[in-house]
Amino acid sequence: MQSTSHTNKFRTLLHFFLGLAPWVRSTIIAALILVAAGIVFTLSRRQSPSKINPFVSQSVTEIKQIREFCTAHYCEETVVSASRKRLIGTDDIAIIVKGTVRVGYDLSQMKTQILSDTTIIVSLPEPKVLDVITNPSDCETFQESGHWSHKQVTKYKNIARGRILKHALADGIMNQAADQAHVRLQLLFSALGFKQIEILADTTHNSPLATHKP
Amino acid sequence: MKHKLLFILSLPLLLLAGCAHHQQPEDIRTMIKTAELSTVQFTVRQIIRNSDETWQLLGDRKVLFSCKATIKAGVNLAQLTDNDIQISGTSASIALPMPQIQSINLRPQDISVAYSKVSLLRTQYTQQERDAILRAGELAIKSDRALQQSIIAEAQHGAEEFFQLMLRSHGYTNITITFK
Repeated sequence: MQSTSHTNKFRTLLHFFLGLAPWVRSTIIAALILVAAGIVFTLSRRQSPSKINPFVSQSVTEIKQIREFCTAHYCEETVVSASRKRLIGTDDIAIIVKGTVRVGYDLSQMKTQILSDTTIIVSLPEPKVLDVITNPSDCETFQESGHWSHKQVTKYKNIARGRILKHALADGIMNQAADQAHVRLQLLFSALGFKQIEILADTTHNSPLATHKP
Repeated sequence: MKHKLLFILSLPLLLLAGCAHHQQPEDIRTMIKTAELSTVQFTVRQIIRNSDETWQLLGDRKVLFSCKATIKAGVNLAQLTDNDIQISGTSASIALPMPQIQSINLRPQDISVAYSKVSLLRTQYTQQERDAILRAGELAIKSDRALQQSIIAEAQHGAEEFFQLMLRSHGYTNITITFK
């Protein structure tokens, strides 16, 4: 009964459509084709990030023995944004970057001088920036319109890294790292039986930032 | 007529509502004291490939990233207690905490697009999509058990060597290093 009513409705619609002037019919068909093509094209533009399933192959290229003593971490979340004018409208991008700055010492440059069974002088180099970490999982593209190349985004991420490092230094991470190193080394050497432990800063080594590029 | 007038008057309001007001959020900062002794650094090279064939009819999109990651591992000296160090004459014994991975660093400048192909009817990869692809590289390091085991083993060996050398230079001859 219901299918008969649908068939009747379809027949009426078809009758109405065929009754239209040929140019109106052509316009409606062209419009429908355009709408369908538009829907298909829009859907094809993007792949949902949740559906992305990349293949990763990896190999170890270097194994290095290090003697790094990290005594302070600095974490910051910052936003870097950019925009550019287009003929119509503006393209913009905003990336939230979460960074970690690791500061500490290269203990291979640490010198010790034992004066007696209970007295030791420890000579520490200047603390240095060991790492600035902003991994892909620490970066979130909050807003994006228009196309931004990988190179451009890398530039903005590096601006964020530079800003995080600058804030870490301004907030006194070097002093924090030095204080913590003194506390930890005092504890370690006193556990080894030393009663008098003197920790000195060895300033003969390079500036802490001389070797680090964010 | 009234409705038409109301509609025309509300148009500028609707247009204004679409204008975004950009406000820079405040930075969130924290400083933490640590005592991490890193004894080993691994460098890992990665190739991350993604092939998007969701809309094969309209052509495909392919991208290949080349990355370099550095991984540091060692022992956390903050977990070392007085009871873990036993000294008796020229004998010293230390029970160190088990080594752990302390940092994984994939610097933006160490990630490059090695190959990219996008068909005419498809759009370029968005940054959100690239982020999702690159996160897989980081996840591959974090979930590679064999790699982690070899890093930990090397870190353990490095920590043992560091304390052996340090204690020896302080006059101890009988040294025992264990991991708790």
